Amino acid sequence: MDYYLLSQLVNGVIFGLIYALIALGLTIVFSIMRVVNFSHGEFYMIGGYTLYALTAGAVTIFSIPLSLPTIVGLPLAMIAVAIFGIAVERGLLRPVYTVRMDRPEEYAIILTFGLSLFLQYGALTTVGPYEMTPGSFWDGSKHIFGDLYLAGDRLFAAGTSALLIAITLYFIYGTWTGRALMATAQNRVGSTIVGINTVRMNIIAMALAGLLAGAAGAAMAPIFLVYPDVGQIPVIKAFVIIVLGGMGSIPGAVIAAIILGLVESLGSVYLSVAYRDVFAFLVLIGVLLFRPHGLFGQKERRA
Amino acid sequence: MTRFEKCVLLLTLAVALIVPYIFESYALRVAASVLYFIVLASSWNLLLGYAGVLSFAHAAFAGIGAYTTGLLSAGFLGHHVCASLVQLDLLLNAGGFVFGGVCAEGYSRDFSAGVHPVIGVFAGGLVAAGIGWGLGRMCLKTRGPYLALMTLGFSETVRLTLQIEHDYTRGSLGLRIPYLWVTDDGLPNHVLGYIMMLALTVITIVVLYRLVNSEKGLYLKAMREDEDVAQVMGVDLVKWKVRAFVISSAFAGFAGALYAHLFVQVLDPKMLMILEMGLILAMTIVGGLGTLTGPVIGALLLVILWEFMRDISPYAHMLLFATLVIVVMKFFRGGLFGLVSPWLKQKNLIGKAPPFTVE
Repeated sequence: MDYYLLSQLVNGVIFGLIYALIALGLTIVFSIMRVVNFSHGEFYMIGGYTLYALTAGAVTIFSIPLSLPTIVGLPLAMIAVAIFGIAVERGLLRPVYTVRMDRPEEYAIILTFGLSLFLQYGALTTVGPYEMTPGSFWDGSKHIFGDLYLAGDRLFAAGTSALLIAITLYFIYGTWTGRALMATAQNRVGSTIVGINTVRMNIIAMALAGLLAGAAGAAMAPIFLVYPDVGQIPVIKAFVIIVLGGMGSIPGAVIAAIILGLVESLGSVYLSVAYRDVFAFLVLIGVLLFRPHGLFGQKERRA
Repeated sequence: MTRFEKCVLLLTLAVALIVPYIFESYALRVAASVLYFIVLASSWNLLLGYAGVLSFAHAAFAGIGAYTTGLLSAGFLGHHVCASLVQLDLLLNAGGFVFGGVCAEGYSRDFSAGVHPVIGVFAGGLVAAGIGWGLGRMCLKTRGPYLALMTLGFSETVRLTLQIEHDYTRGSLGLRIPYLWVTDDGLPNHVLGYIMMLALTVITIVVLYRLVNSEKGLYLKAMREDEDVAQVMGVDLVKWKVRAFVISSAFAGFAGALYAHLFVQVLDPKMLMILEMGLILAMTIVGGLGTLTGPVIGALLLVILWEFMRDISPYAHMLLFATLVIVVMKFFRGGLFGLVSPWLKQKNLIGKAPPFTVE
C-alpha cells in the first residue's frame, strides 16, 4: 500500500479524534441546554493559553517563573476551562431555562457570540496577536513501521482524545449522573418530576464541555500554537460535525468527527490542499440538503 | 407617524444633508461609514428583528457585492485581457511594449478594461440577492440554530475562497478598484460619495418602512412571534423568510459595492470576517432590535465610539462592543431605543413601542 495515502488516512483519523474532542462538549451542551455555544472556540483558546502560562516560564508568581511539565499543565488547563464554563453558565446562560422569554435560542446564540468576540479581543488587547509556543508533549517524529512516520505531538493529542472520549462515553452511559444527563436531554420537565436537579445537570454539562475543550486546546497547542483566534476554524468544524452527527447526538458527534477528518485528509490529497478548510462546509450543505436531522439525530419534534 | 416622529426625521435628514459642508475629508469618511453601517444594520434587522431569522452571513453579502463590482470593473476582466495582450506582444516579438506596456500601466491605474462602476454596483446588488436566494432556499427550511451555523459556515467559506483564489482576487494583497467620481486633481470626490451613500440609506429606510408596515410586514412579524401559529394562519414560512433574506442581502450587496467604489480603494477579504458581522450585530442589538430607529442609533453611536477609541488600542472598540452586546442582551433586550421608547410612548410622542421586553 502507498505509504503517502496511508499516512494521510492515519492523519485523518488523528484529526478526527481531535475534532471529536471539541465537538463532544458542544453537542453535550446542546443536548442538555438547547444552547449552541458560539464561544466554544474561545474555551479551546483559553485551554491553550492556560497551558502556555503554566508551562512556558513566561508567567511569574512571586518572581518564580511557572514552568511545570506540560503533562501536568494539561489537566490544570482542563480544570481552569471547566471553572470558566461553569461561570459562563451561572452568569450568562441560566436565564435561557429559568426565565420565561421569547426566542431563547437566539438569545443564547447572540450572547455566546458576544462572549466569543469579547474573549478574542480581550486576548488581543491583553496578550497581543503573537503566536505562542508551549513546550512539546512528546518530542520529535515517531517511526511507526515501514515508511510511516508521525509527529509525537499529534500521536499524543490523538491518544489523549481517544482516552478522554472513552472516559466521557463511560461517564454518560455508565454512571447514574450520566443517565440523569441523558434524561434531562430527552425531557426536561419529565426529569424534574422524577427528582433530577436540572440546573445541576446544566452545570455538569458546561463543566464537561469546558474540560473537553480545555483538553483539546492544550493538547493541540504545541501543534497549532496559541493565538487569539486559534479557536475560530476548529469551532466551525465542530459546528459542522454536530450538524452532521445530528444535533445533540453523542455517538453521532464522534463518528461524524472521524468522517470529517478523513474527508479533509483525502480531499487535500485528491482535490486541493488550499481548500482543506472549505470541505467542511461542503459536507454541511450536503447534510442539510439530504438529511437535515443528521446521521444519528432524531427528527425534530416541537411541543 | 406622530408629529414628533416627523420632526425628528426631518431634523435628522437636515443634519445629514449639512454634514458634507461642515466636515473635512476624514470626518466625512467617518460619516459615510456611519451611513454604510446604517444600511447594513437596518437590513440585518429586517432578518432578526422582524422575521426572526438569525443570519451570520450579512457581512459576507456586503463582501460579495463589493467583490462582484471589483472583479467586473478591474481585476478579473482587466487582468485577463491584459495577460492576453502581453502574450500577443510576445507573439509579435515586441517585447511587451506595444500592447502590454500600455496594459501594465493600465492595470494599476486605468480601469478601462472593466465595466463601468455604475453597472458594477448594480451587478453587485443583484449577485448578492441571487446568492442570498440560493442560500435562503437551501437553509431557511431548517429551524432553530441550524440557520445560524450554516450562514456562519457560508460566510467563512466565501472569505476563504476569496483568499485562496488570489489569481483573480489578489487575495490578502487586496484588489484595487476604481473610484466612481474623482475631482479634477484625481482625488476621490467624497462629497458626492457621501450624498450617494445618504441616498442609499434613505432608500433602504423608506423601503424597509413601507415593507414592515404593510401586510407583508405582518407576515414577517407573525413568524417572529410564533412560527407555528403563523403557519397555521396560512403564512408560507419558507417563502416569506426567503423573500426577507433576498431583500436584506440585496441591500447588503448594494451597500458593499457602492461603499467600495466611493470610499474603499482596496478590497480585502477581511471585510467578510466574523468581526464585521460582530460590528453589524452589535450596532443592531445595542441600538434596538425590531425597530427601524434602533439600528440607526446603534450605528451612529458605535461608529463615533469607535473613532474615539482608536487612540487607546486598535482592538479596544471590539472589546467594548462585545461587552455592550452582552450587557444589552442580559439586562435590556430592547436596546437603547427600547429603554427610551416606553417613556416616549407614554408622552404620546411615538406610535408604537418596540416588541422586545423581558418578563
